[in-house]
Amino acid sequence: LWLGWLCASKQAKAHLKGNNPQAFPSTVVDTATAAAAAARPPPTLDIFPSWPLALHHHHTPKEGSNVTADSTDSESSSKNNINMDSSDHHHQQQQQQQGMVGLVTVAGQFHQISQQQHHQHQQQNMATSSTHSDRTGKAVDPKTTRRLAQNREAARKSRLRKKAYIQQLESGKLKLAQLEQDLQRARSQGLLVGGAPGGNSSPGAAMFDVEYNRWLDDDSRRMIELRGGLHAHLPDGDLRAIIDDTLTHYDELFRLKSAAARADVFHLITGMWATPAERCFLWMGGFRPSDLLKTLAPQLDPLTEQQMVGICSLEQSLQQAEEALTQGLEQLHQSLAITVAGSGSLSDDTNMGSFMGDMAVALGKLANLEGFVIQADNLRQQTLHQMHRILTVRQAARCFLAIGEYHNRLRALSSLWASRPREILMTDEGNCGELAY
Amino acid sequence: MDRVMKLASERAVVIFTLSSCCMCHTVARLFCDLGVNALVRELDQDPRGKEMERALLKMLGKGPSVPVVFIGGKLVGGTNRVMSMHLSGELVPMLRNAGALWL
Repeated sequence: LWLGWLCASKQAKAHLKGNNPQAFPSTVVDTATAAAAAARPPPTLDIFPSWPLALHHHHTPKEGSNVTADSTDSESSSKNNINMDSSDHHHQQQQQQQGMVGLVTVAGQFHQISQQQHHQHQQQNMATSSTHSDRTGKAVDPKTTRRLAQNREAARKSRLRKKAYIQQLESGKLKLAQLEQDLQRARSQGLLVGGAPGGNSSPGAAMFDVEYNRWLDDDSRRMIELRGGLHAHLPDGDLRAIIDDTLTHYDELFRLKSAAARADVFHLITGMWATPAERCFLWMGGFRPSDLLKTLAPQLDPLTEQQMVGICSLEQSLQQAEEALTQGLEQLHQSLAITVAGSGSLSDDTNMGSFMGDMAVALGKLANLEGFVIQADNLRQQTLHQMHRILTVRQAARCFLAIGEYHNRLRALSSLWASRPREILMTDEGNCGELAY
Repeated sequence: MDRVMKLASERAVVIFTLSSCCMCHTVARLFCDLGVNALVRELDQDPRGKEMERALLKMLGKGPSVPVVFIGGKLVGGTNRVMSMHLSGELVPMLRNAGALWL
């Protein structure tokens, strides 16, 4: 059956292409024209009588729609992003999703077209004789009148189809331009990793990225509120409420990260969720809390002696905890390396027997990475809570504002870096060349 | 359970671990860096290790089952609890009270 279609398609291709060179891409022509060609000798509606009823349901309405209204075709097509002719759309969509069903549908459409063209063909044959008789004033054959009417109808349908196709091309173009714009904006904000292949993104990672971006939006709103409250010299009670809210908001972030760690730990650990500049400082899937504390300490002045002791003690405990985690991770790395290397010789290819066993053990060890990211996040969360405990309300407000602003700057740095002019690099290379002498 | 509690009282600080567990190494390392001579009990080296692990899980309420830390014979908790307590400043006084730290 397939071979027959392929052979017939070559004949049908020439015929159809003569009439509509641009409307139908060659792939459509290849697969579907075969059906038209097959249908041409005896024009029947029931091309595939052996097909199940479900397909007939697809089959028959399409025939009806082709004759009645093109508007229905373009309506359903507009739901599809891809810009195509209405009949092409149906073909493409259904071909991808329903294989043979689509072919049946298109077969139906092309059957209609071929019938119309068949009539047109017959038309041309009759035209000379009928117009001749018109001019001479003789009675016009009613059959001829009907054929002329059908011809006009077919031409009208063809014009409408072409119009619909062009409209879809235009709307598709607009959509594409809009998408490109959105993508560009997102990239420039450092929200996306430029050009990362889609295959690298797991559903857990994609989900987290969406939630994280929403969290960032929320965060900037809270920063505005916090700054406003601080400068308006709100009473401590009100300010404390805003700070508590901010802390809860951070708790939410760590909850999201913990879920992401279980879904796709590598997304967190490689820092692909963060911007490049943030990734510089990446430690176990996030910022290093003792570093943040060291960076922010000067911003918290003036501190009482008791507060200073508290901050120093927190910093020291943090460093000890971070070191312990780092050592634990180091042990995991060594253990994993040993497992991957396997129990036999790597250069000896008769060692395939242990491969799956080694992989199974390695998989188990990899899973431990989740625990490390989660514990690191716990350190981050506890650091924020301890800061909140040690500092006064106003100090805490300034502290959280500082944290937010610091990360904003890192993100801004990332986008500036991404859009920096490259010519500067060229001059450097030139200078180096001269200096070599 | 009894065996767990018995072993937990053998020293001021007792950590139950599994030899393959890297987080256990983290916690042991933390106590070592604090100057504590903790007793590390590897459950997979113990003939009754499996039932002890089950008992510990029951005590904790939720996993992971190791590492579990006992200070002064009393249950403290897992990694998360120990780390949080250290950051809040509660861990060192507890260690001093149990006689695990002298400084």
